[in-house]
Order: sequence, then C-alpha cells, then structure tokens
Amino acid sequence: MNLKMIAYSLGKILQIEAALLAVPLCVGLIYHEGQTIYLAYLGASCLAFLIGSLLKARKPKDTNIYTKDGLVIVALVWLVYSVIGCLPLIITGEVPQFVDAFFEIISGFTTTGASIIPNVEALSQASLFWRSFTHLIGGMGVILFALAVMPGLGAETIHIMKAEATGPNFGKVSHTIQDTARRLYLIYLSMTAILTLVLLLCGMNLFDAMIHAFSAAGTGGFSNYKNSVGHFNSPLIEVVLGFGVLAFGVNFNVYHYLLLSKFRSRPKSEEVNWYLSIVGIATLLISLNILPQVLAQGGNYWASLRHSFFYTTSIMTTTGFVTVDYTLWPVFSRTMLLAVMCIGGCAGSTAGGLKVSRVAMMTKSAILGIRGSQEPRRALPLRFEYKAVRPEKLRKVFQFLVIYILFFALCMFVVSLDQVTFEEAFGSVAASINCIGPGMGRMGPFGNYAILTPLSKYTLCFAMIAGRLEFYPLLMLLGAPFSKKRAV
Amino acid sequence: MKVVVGGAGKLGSSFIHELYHEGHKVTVIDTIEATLDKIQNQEDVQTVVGSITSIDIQQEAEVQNSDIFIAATNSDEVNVTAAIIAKKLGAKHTLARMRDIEYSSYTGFVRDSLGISYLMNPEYDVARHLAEMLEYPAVYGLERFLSGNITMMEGVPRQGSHLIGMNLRSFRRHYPSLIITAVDRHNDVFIPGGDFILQGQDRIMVTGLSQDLRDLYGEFANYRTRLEDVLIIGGGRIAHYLLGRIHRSHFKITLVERNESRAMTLAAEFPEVRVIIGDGTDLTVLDELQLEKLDIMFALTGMDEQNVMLSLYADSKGVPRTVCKVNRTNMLPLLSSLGLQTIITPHSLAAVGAMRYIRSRDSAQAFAMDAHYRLMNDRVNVLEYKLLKESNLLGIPIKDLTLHPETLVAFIYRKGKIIFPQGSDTFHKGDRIALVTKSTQHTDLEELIWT
Repeated sequence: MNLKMIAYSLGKILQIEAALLAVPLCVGLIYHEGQTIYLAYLGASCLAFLIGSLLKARKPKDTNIYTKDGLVIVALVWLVYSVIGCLPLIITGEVPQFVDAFFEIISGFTTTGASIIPNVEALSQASLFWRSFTHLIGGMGVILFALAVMPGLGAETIHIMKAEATGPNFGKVSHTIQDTARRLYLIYLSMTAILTLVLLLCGMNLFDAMIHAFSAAGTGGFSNYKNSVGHFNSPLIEVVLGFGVLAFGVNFNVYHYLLLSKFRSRPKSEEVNWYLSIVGIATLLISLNILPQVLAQGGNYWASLRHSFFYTTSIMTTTGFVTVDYTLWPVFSRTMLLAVMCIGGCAGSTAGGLKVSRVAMMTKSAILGIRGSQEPRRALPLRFEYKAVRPEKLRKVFQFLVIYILFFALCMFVVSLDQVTFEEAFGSVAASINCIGPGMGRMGPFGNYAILTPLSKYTLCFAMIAGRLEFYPLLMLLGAPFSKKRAV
Repeated sequence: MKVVVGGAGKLGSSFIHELYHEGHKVTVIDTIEATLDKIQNQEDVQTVVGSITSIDIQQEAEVQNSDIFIAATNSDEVNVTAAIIAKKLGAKHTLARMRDIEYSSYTGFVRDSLGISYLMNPEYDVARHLAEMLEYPAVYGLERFLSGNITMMEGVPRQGSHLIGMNLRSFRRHYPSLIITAVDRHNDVFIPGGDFILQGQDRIMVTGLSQDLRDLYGEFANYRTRLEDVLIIGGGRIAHYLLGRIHRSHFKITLVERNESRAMTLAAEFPEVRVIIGDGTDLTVLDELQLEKLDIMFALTGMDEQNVMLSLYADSKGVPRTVCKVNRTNMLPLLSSLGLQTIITPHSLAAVGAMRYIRSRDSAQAFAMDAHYRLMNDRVNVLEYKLLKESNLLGIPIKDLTLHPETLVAFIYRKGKIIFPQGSDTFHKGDRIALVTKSTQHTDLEELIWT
C-alpha cells in the first residue's frame, strides 16, 4: 500500500470539508445564532483545514494508487469526515456525548437519517442545516464531490471513485473521471434545486424546503421537525416528496442518457422497470392491508394509499421521512416495509440497500435455476439490462449477498445484547445497514436511537458506513493493519 | 471477360468451375501451390501462387486489366483489403466474401464507401432461403424472378389432388396463368411436354405470377400445415442469421449446439429460443427432444456427414420436413439418391447469386443473360435473357423454332406484362425471356434455341 499517497489524498479531501463546514457557519450568521455556534463551526472548519494541510504538506514521489489503496482512502475519508463533522455538535453542547454526535453525523453522511436527538426542534438552525447538508454531500458521495471540485487528480483516482460508487456496475459516463463527477453532480444538484423550488411552491418556507430537499436528494431523511414530514400534514407535500425521493432512487446514469439524448428517447433500463414495479406492488399491497385501520380512524382509501405510497417510497429509497406511525400498522405491512428496506434503490443512485439490480439479477438467476433443473441440458444464460450477464459478475453479486447477510447477522448479535425486542434489533440493524433511518418498535418513526447503549450505537455507526460503502472499503481498512507485507 | 479469383477454397472453386465453363479467362491466386495444381488438372486456368493482399501478386495476376476480381478466401478482412487494392489497381468490378456477423449489418456501407461491387455472404443467403421455406411449408424450393413478380415453386401434389393423373394440356386449361416447368420423378428430372401425365409422387416445379400460385398452393401436400416446432442442430453462422429472421415469429424453436459458450451466446441473444447444450449427433440428446413432435428439422452442423445422418435419422423418426446443409457439392448426386428431402449448399447458393451479378456485367454475349438460377438440387437451370439485339429468332412462332432437348420457354416478359407462351407466340426485341433446361453445358441463348 502507498501510505504516503493515502495520507496525501486524505489531506486534500479533508480541506474540502473545511469549505463545507463554512456553509452552516454562514447559516448561523444569517440567523444570528451567537458566538458558540460561530466558534463551533469555524473551529471545526479550521481544524479540518489544518489537518488537511499537514497531511498534504509533502506530495509523495510515487503517486500510484491501486484498488486496495482506493478502498482504504474511501473508508478513511468517510470516518474522518464524520469525526470532524460531529465536532460542532459537541462544542455547541447540543449533543454533548461524542458517541451520539458521531452517530448523528455518520447517519447524515451515509444518508441514513437515524437520529439520537430526542427533540430536533431544539437544535440551532446551523446544526439543522449541517445535518441535512451532510445528506446532500453524502448522497452522491463525498469523494465524488471532491473529484468534481478538486483540480489535478489523475487517472488513478478511478479506484477511489469505484470504491465509493454503489451497485454492481460502475458507469463512467464521460471520458475523464473529473468530467464524470461534474456531470453527475450537476444533474444531482439541478434536481435538488428543482425539488427545493417545488417544495417552496407547496408552501414551505425556504429553510424547510432546503432541509427537506437536501434530505430527499441524498435519500437521507433528516427533518428539522420532530414529526418530520408529518409536521406539515399536507398530502401535496407528501406526494411531492414521495415522487422526489423516487426520482433520487433511480440510477443517475439514466438521467445522464436522458440529457444526452435531449429527452428524445426514453432510456431502456430493466432495473428502473423492476424498481417501479416493486414500488407499485408494495404500495398497493400495503394500502389494502392498512385500509381497515385507516377506515376505523375515519379515513378513506385515498388516505390509505397516501400513507402507503409515502412510506413505500420513503423506505424503499432508504430515505426515512415519516408521517404517521407505521409501527402501529399490521404485521404484514411492517414486514413489507422491512423487505423493501433491504432491497433499496437502484444502483448508482443515492439510495442504499442491496440495490434493485442485484435483487433482480439474483431473482432471475434463481428462476433460471428452477427452469434448468427441469431441462438440465438447456443453455440458460442470465440476461439483465437486455444483455447477457457474465458468470463472474453474477458470482460477485452473490458474494455481496453473503457478505451482506454475515454483516447483518454480526450486527444483530451485538445489538441484541441491548435491552431490545427482536423486531427492534432486526429493524434497527436493517435501518442502519440499508441507510434508512427509522427502524421498528422504539426506534420507529417517532422514536430515536438514544435509548441504546454506546456499544450498540457504535455497532450501528459501523453498519451504516459499511452499508453505504458496500462493505469492501471498511473491510479493507479493518484488515489493512493485519495484512502481511508482500515484497512487491 | 478476364476474371481473377483470389482464394481457391470451396467457394472459389465453384466460381472457377462456373466461370471457366462459361468461357471466361480465369486467373486464380492462392497461397497453396498444391491447391492450384489440383485446379489446373481440372480446368485450363492460369495460376499465381501468393497472397491476394499483395500488390505484386495482384499485378502478376494482371488484376489491373481484369474485368472482375473475386476475393473468396476464408478471411473477411483479407477479402476486403484485397478487393480494395484490386479496385485501386483498376479492376472494373470487385466481389468479396464477407460473412462475419459483425459486418453483415453494414453491407451497404462497405459496398458504397469501400467500392466493393458485390458482397457474398453464403451463410446469410442460406438463412434467407430457410426462412422463406418456413414461410411456405408445402414448398420444397422457391425462387423469385423479376423483382418478385414471378415465382417458381416446387411441391408434391397432395393425395387425392385433381393434379394427379392430369396431363399438362389440361393443366394449362385449368390454370391458364401457370406453367409446369420441371418434374422430378423418382430422382429423374423431366422438362415436361403437353402429353406428360402427372403422378402421385412427382415433385413439380410451377412457374407463375406470385398471386396466381396461391390457387395451386392448396393442391400441394402439407399445404395446411403451419410449421410450429422447429429444431435447428448446430449453432453456427447460418443458425444465427436464421434466428435473427424468425425468432420473433410464432415458431417454437429449439436449437442444439455442442459448444457451451456458443450456446450461451445464442441463448442470450435470442431468449425466445430454447437452446440445448449437447451433441446433436448423440441419439440420447435427440430422443429427449421428442423428434416425433417436430414439424421441421434443420441439420446445420459444420460436418456434412453429420448433417446427412441427422436428416436420415429424423426422417426415420417421422419428422415431416428435414433440411440438410451440405458443403461439398460433389456429394450432391449421391445424396439425392439417399432420399434426402431438401439439401442446401451454401457455396453454390452464394456462387449462383454472384454469377448472376457477373453475367449481367458481361456484354460480350449476343444476348445478355440477366440471371441464372439452379433448382431441384442443381439439376435444372433457369436462364433469363434480355433480347436486346436483332436476331433471326425474333418474330418466328415458338413452335417453328428448334429447342435444345429438354428445354422450355417458361415465360416472356414484355412491357410490364407476363406471357406464358403457347406455340404461336413469338419473341420481340426488348423482351425478357426465361428458359428452363436440363442442360448444364449451354448457357448461350443461341445454343439452346435455333431456327
């Protein structure tokens, strides 16, 4: 491993966080929130800049980065970003415990949206903004952001970018990495701006609109209200946010092709078809299942459909906005929500989870397996996205599933040491590893993770980063100190 | 004409044979001296040993003074390069074999921008032929003339058809716009006269306007069958092209391919097709496929012997239609005596198409032959001529002309109208006429008809 280059890259990327931290500082200044806030964000920003400068002080001679280095850099960047990003919350005293602040900001960067803050409305505007801002940055990826804005990065950074991108495919949409990063970010930020505008038109004030648009864009789920989206009690806003997060759960390459063809041709994407079908079916089934309950409370079918659509999109895209309390829904609906939690959004989107393309490929492969057992001689290649999938790629998808399940089980063992029910343990791990936010039981939409012991909180932090980075970078980082030095 | 043939493989040889027998000056280029020696023993042609992409070799073969250059090696890239060189050196027309699937979709581009006059793709021609066969299941052979206006089709009258026992004079009364141009009876081909009486097992070749032939279609055996279950053995280029044409239609297609990765590629490209990995000549594999339920089987493996055996086996299992691909043309006489129903030879199909092109460029003959078709397993020639010059044949009733034995005037095409000639009809200047003949030696009009 090229340790010097890892440190150098880390330093460069950290300096960007210094700039990012200046944004909430400005928000604090606008709202005249007092010295503590200014100091906290200014301090964190200066610290990030200082550490960054120290790390990048000397440019190493050997600038080669290999796959493993890329993975380690990504894992380190996400950890260090979270550590520095949580400092303001501690300094202002809004979240005094390190573990809580760390959890909160990791939850932000990984776009999980799980909160340990019992009353978010008590936070300063600057901190509320920072929390949602981390969603925006983390959604598309902090490294991708760095690549988009930082000049002079060479071709070797492809390893870093690949390590951060989600899903089984890595789509480089342009000639250079920087151009790819810029285009993707341009699409992403434009969509966020459009969503902000629409939310403004729906009657939100600018601050609320930005907070919710950022959260929706990163498919995070932080809100500045205790009741989240339920605070507005507006079917219009719920539908807008429902479609908003749905749009951010789609592979961004699809939008890129749309732009390239100037919206003349509809890109064929099997993954998007699966994605929309799953959302459609889940919405329908849940709406029917919760109908009796909604009727008993004096609602009609449309109310049931409204809640069902909002939650299916919010949970499937791993956002985690909340309106009503789904923990009171029948078991079928809760199970359905847990299922779409694990499926997640499309590859190459801001959503987490297993990713629709992986689930689709595995499902198709299983169906082929059944057909193959009837006709053993038949050639049954797996087709996905209208072409054959190479066996190596399919194998990687299954390997990913195994790692996912093992991680899941490991985290569940640790969390189950806590005072929790099975559903709570399962729900909180699923909500963290898939980057959703609200889990089940006391960690449900109106609960929070404050009740857990620090051990569980650290475990869930670990699960969030592992899930967001799709396991390999974190595994590489943890394994790096133990790896034997090879004479290469 | 002066013709240079590059590559003396199967395709090249069929050209050399045809061209030599039509009286052209042929020069052959090939890298293997032994192959050239073999050819020189059979045909009086000039030979040059070397690579056809070499400019020196091409000049040695006097490509610069040639009318036609044919690149018929096994490699598409070599053929294209050689054809471009030949064109630049001054060959009037260039023909190149191009059979790669990657190129096949861009033939127009290759032809126009690279200046190659004619592209030959034997496998593609076969696939088109087979697809047509699936469309007209009761028909054994089908050929279209004059941009599809006139069709010749081969079929066997169904049992109880009023055709059986009919002589051709009364056939003519029943179907005034159709003409029976050849009959295959127990592997003997006849060009029938008016007294000829049709029998039950006869395979008849009927010529007529495409829409009129539909009336007769009901008299053919199996005319009602709609082919559904199709079995293709061998997943080579022909199968690939064929699937590309038929995979979206109603057919239930099964394909057997031995090579696993090839089978996987085909299955991925045509998900509607059931692709089986297995040796098509392994009887256990074949029996698992339930041959008795099949409507048609195509034997398209790379081995002639396997194809023949497969077709015979399928025949014995009662598969109604079998089509057998055979590459070596010298086996054909033997094979038709074995009772194989339909035999396809890719090279002769491609050569026929290309020869049609070459002949139409040949202005030396008194009567420009427009096209030359071979039917009934190459035992019947159909020759199309344009009567552009004054000749003593014009204006004389056909019954007063002398025709070569077993030769027949199939139709006269005059000013957009088609005439199926009677004895009293005459030829006019500007007519296009088609002759059907058993003679394979004569292609000149005046050798087939004289006063």
